[in-house]
Amino acid sequence: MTFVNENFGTSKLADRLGVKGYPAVFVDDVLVACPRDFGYFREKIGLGRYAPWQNADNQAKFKADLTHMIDLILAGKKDSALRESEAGNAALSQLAALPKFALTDLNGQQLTSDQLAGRAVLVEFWATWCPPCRSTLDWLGQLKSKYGDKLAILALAVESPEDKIHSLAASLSPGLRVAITDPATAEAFGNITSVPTMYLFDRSGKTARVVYGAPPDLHAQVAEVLESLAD
Amino acid sequence: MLALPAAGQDAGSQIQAEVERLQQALAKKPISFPGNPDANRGAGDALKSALKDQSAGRLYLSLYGIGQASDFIYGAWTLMDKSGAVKNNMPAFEAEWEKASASVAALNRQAQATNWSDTPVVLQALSETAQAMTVPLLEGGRGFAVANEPEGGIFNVGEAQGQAEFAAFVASLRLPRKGTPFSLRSLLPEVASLQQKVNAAFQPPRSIDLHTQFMLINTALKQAAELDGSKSYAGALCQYLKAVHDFGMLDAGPVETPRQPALKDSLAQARSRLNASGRDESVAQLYVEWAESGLAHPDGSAPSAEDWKSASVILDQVLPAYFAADHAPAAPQSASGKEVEITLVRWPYT
Repeated sequence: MTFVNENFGTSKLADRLGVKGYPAVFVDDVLVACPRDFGYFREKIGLGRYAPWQNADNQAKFKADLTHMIDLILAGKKDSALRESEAGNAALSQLAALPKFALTDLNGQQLTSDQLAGRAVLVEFWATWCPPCRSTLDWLGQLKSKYGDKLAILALAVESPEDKIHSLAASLSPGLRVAITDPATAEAFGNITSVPTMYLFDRSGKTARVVYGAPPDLHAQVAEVLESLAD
Repeated sequence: MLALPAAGQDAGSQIQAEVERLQQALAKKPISFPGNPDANRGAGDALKSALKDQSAGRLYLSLYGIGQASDFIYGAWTLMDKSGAVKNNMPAFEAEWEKASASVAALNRQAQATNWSDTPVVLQALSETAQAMTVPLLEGGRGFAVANEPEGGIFNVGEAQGQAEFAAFVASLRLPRKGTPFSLRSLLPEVASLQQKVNAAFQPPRSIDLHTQFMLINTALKQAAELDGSKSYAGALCQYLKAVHDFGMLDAGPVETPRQPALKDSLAQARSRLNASGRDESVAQLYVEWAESGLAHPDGSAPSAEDWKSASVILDQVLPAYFAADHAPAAPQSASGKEVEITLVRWPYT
């Protein structure tokens, strides 16, 4: 077993997996824990699996999770490790459908999962401090113009100062429903560990695609899915 | 801006001049942090302490103090000067970052051009350590700027400048080496062994109650490993010994009053032995100066319980580890082949 320290700001592994901030722990290239798990970096959320870190139970849980992940990879079960990583960090494997949530958008209107029944839904988790999110949000405005009412687009802000959310939202397409994610919604989506993270749901509410970060082919990926969803 | 030595100026005078330069600059531009009214006083006290160590002949400890102070002072000045300009403005941050990077690179080149063969090895250690911190601070600052707000990373950019200035200052010192050179070597086996002990010790309740102390130990070990990896063995030795000290402090018992005179005598004897050595013992002397400084407060106040413990750990653990570093390491255990790699992405210095 080799232990590697990488400095925040220069970790290619963290960049590749869209992890901002520190600390983050990987076994080989499988993400085991990210800043939010420790309640670090954007501290006001404080909902991490191992937060607060200075707690015996949380330290024991982290050690157990890390050991389990090492065991899986040493046993040649990297696929299982990846699935568990996703489950632990984003609960993606369990997110088969649009989860129940109830928020209030920035205009003071109720925004609930029930209101979205029968429509294709795109949910984008973003943060004010995330440059790729900014360009993605602008592009979502274009998508809204193209698909209109066939597609509901929700831009849910995480871990960002409220005044900055309002100021950025003011510059976005009015067709986007912008809200601040509350802890219950974050949990319903499996706790968002990196931004931007985008979910696409079909008209029956089933998960059609999840995209982490802003890969170069993001537009193509999403366009392909939307063409089938919005018909 | 680095002050180059005047003709005939000795190292003690150079160190004094550098502290006074920083003190004057601090008087002209006091540190003003909203929410931290003590920041300027703290920086001033650190410089006063460095000056007192210099006047007491503890040159190496004085230098160490200047390095610590420079990091903070330059970081604070940069934050004060630039945070307004880079606020919510990534291109402005990038421009400042590029400027600082060029300046840091120039200072590092200056320090790297130093011929250390005739100087005490501790100077090389301090300069190498400071140089090695510059790039992680710059990159970490950019990381903060991207992940938070541009102004969030500007302090670290200033810290990098402070470390680079300090590294170049140390390289400019005119201090001849006494005795034969200390034989430097890789300390990776020792660093790895200590890391294992630290990991094993990281158990509740100490992992919770002594969290900060564990962070300091792990930081020193990480720096030692990085310096070692770049063959900066002098810096690695210094950081390894810092980790030995900090780890020793976790378990060190109190030095009861009846034991204190004997400990002082032992420290004086260690100092004499090192001074009389026919070899460059400057790295060990830095730690002895540290212990001496803790037991001889310039204001006449009594040493604290921590000061006594620290002196005891330096005598009982740091100096033996230093002398052991002169010997060839134990044969490494046979490698079983890399099967899994655990990566921790972290802030470099906490």
